[in-house]
Amino acid sequence: MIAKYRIIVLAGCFILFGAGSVFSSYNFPPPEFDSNYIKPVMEKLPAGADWLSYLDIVVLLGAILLSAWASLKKRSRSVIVIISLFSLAYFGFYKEGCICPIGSIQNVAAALANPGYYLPVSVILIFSLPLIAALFFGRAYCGGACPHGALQDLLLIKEISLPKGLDRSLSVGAYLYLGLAVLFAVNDSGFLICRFDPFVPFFRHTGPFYMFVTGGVFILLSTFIGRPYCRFLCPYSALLKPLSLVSKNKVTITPKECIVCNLCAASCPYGAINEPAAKAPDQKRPRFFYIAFFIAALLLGSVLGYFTGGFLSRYDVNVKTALEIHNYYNTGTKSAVILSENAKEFIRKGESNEILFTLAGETVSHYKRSGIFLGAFILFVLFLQIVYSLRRPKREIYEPDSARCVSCGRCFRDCPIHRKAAQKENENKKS
Amino acid sequence: MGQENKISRMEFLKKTGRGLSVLALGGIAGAALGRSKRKRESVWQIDPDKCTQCGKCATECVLRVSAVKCVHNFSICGYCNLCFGYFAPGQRELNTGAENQLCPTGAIRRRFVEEPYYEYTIKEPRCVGCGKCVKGCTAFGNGSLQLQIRHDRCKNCNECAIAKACPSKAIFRIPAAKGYITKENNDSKI
Amino acid sequence: MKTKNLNTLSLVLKQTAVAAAALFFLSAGGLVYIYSSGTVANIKDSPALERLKQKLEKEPANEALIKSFREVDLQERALYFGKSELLETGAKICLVFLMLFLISQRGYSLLNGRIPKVKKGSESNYHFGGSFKSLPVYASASLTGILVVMILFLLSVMGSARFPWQAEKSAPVKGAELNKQWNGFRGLNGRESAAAGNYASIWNIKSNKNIAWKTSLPVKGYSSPIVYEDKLFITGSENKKLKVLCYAAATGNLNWSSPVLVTSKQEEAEVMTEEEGGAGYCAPTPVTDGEYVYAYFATNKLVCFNLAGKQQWLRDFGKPENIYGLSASPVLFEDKIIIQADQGEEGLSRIYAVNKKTGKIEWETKRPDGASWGTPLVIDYRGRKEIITTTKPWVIAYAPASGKELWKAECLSGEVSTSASFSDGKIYVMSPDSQTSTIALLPGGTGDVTRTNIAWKMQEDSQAINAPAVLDTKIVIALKDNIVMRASTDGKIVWQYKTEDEFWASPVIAGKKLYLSSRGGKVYVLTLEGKLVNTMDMGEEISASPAFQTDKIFLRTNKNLYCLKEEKK
Repeated sequence: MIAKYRIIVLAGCFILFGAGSVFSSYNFPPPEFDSNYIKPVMEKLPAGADWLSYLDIVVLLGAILLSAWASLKKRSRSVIVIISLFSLAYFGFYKEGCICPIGSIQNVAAALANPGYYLPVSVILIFSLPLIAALFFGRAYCGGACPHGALQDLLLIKEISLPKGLDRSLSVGAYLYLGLAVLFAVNDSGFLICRFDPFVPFFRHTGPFYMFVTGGVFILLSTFIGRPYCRFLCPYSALLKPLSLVSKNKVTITPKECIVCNLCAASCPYGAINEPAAKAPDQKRPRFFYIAFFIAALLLGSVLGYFTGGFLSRYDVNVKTALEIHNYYNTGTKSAVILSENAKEFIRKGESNEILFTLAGETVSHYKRSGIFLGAFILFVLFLQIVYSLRRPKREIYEPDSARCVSCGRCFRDCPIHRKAAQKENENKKS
Repeated sequence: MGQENKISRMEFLKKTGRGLSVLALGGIAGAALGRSKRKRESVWQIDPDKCTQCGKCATECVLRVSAVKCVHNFSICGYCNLCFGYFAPGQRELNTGAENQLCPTGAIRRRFVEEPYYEYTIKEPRCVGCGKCVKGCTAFGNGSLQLQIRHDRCKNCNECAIAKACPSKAIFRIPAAKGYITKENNDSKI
Repeated sequence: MKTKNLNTLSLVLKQTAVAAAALFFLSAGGLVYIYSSGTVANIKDSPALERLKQKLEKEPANEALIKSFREVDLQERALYFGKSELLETGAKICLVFLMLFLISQRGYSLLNGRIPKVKKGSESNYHFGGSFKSLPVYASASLTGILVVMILFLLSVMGSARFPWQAEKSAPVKGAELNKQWNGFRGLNGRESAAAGNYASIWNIKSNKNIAWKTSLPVKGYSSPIVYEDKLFITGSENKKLKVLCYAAATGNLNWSSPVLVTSKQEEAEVMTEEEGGAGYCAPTPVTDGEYVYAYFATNKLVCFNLAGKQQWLRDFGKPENIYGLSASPVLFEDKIIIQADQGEEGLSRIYAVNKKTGKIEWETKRPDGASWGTPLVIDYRGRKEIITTTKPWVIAYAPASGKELWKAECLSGEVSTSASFSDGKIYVMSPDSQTSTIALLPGGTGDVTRTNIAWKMQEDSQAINAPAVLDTKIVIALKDNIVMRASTDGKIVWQYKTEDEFWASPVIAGKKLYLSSRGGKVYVLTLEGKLVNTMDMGEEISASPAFQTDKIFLRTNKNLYCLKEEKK
């Protein structure tokens, strides 16, 4: 009993003194009301629980596996369309496109470069599941589980086929974009992929104007060019392509043997079907030529990348502010300059310019250092592109290019053997 | 014989490539996880003490109407008759006339409680997150009005566009369980 | 039967697709129109309301205007929220049509799978394929490669330029160096604070406690001692003869004492001595750059000695016309000595920059008439250097390179004997009128900034003739009978300490303590929280600020020079 009292008295004291000391710091002490007015409480709507992100991973995994099954085993375009409609509805319009494997590249890059960056396990899973799947089932993710791909795939009405050379050249864009996005992510300057994503504003049906413009352009393009974002820009495709090259299982046009009837040749809107070709006559250049070319490319890339990094650092907010502040204090025309909020905030804080300049200097040198890797990577890709264009392997049948094939299943229907098999199956079912 | 050999060589190369890729992916994932923080931080919030009400919250959010809204910490409100968050500077009369109000959308409601106290509540659907009222209240009043990211509206973007644009770097992630950083419960800051 | 059903379905799907597409484009067009018709995004600064608001400010009592304001306000808000809602529902409608179109279009195309045709000439592809077909691919790949490398090269060229601030970096002064230098009035660059050091906070002249050495001065003057490495410099006058004295900082032995040599042509100026209530001949504190020592005297002459005591050059600025005598100390800035000579006679006030090597005047700028006694302060405000000077009624900033006036603010009154201080991006000056006030100014302006750049102004309850000492975000003011600490942001009083004493010397912050030497002959040591640590009575009045070096304090009283140092136990 006494203990109880003591607690009440102590609590009372605590409230009295505690409250007093807190309230004394306010300009207008919060009032005590004589009437029976009760202070309202701020409404705090809860955030989505963390486990929900794991539900998404389960759904993602399911969509990938289903899509793999539909493209490899079931061989049904209809099933793939249904899966992609579901993915578009769920990952696209319901989850509103965030977070997706494409954007997760940046989270992983940022976590690798900056210790202390928070990377949830769910993001690692979202990043790696489609990649692991690509090692076993090809680009099953692109075929059915990616809302971006699904949207473009479904929008394609009347395709025009691009010349092979143009198609191959444009697809370098994906690697460039990947390199740039990683450079900006490791330097903590922003997530390019997310900022310029063309479809997210449509998924959210709200967004900045420029996003709608780029999105509109891509949506119009995809009505007559097959998956323009996937093929020419998507940075995740730049990761999926090399992995699906060594994939264990591959999409085949025909369920059995190819009879080289060439019926499927024009069925792929993405230029991913390789035609049979005779082996080119031997005209091998000496191996050291390639090696020398390779090393020269890497060196050139590193040098160019170093300075390009210096240029790109100007888009970092620290460097931008430093430039602005420097201009502001070294030109006489101060009243004419309209300062950005960042610069104003810096002036308001009254820190020394030196601190800002040192920080900006560090950012620039970090950009330059990581620019070396960017340059080498870009030149490496270009080198491979040229070497690959010289390669003339012997091929006797029509088969999908394992890097470019997005497992959409369009070619199945054009294969007479597939159709015959499907018919047979239908008849079997009926009987 | 040669043909078979070649195919098996291709297969071997592919298998090696696959194995290496799995290892590389595992390495990347492991390294990324190993270097990252262990705290679970999943929702974006504004630190009201760092916020300078620059007005970027209203314009930078990817949503057309920002996920940032003004919220009211009633427990520290002074219930002033002359509210610096409600009345525009240089107002002529302390009444609810539109010409006296600071809020561009008229999202604050003023209600008489008892002499001399008035209650101010925010009609959230009308708030555009411009922070004009917060600026007034923070500069001259108790600072009971503050801007905060509302979880019912926030899309929880991978990278918050406002956080990147915020000049005072006042926006960061906090654990979802903590939910909100308000001036009432500043202990929820990390 | 089944085929018929399928045919009907496909027809329905086709029609649905066409209708959905048409509706989608219609609604999307409508949305774009609504979006582009304006007023949706800008309720925050509606021009119509802004105009009315300005009108209202002019005639606040106009009832009709108020009424129309309310109406327009209501309309604008209704428009904004109406359109917002329309946009949101419109987007949803668009989406529904789009999905409908996609589904029916896909369904239709699935039902109507076209039969592929055999490609013409495909046979030839098979036979000769490789060698011909890959040629354009190769060309295109090479072209892409060249293009990308060229873009990279272009970016590299643009990115290879150094950033502007990198070019102007100068080596910062090291902490250890700082300790060596109390090289002029109020320490290095007038900062009035010593780097962290362990300074004595108690001493006793009777028991000799913590007194390293003491020597009596043969000269008199209000100037403060300065110290550079192992040398201590004093200026003073002995029977109207001007002298510069150099002591060994470690022992207090007199190294040399050199009189200022004046050519016979130069007219000897009459100066009001200390006893007559003037500032005397030697109120300005000398300054040294470690190679030479520069001393300025009330006779309006600047003299340069080398460290061995040999006079190098002398610059005469003309006959002084200053009622109490010139007292602004010379200020060292890069290769210049800045001298502020404000005089009572019309058209005589000047600020000079003298080349420290040659003694030639590099620039001189005319200043407002009227005598003043404060010392200029060179500040670095975000890369721009400014010389801050005080006179009645102006605070004027000059560019050190050219002497051009940068800005001025009208805020001082009375006999301006106070110098400016600078920290936290603000300049602090005291206006020593009958009612002394402390004023914080923002540097970096142009022209007359009286209306714009005064951050705050606080009235003090007694007088001061010295300069505030600065901490990062606090300033300390030594007023008559009162020592006050104010916050730099808003000027609010943090603490105050009452004494019955008068301070001519500016307060100094050293080793996290505050040192104030008073006219009453006492040295007050206070913590930065305003608590008294000790008071030491020196037995004679003190007009000079002490100098600090690593662990020593040099204090000049009226007749003596003390070195104070904590004795090792």
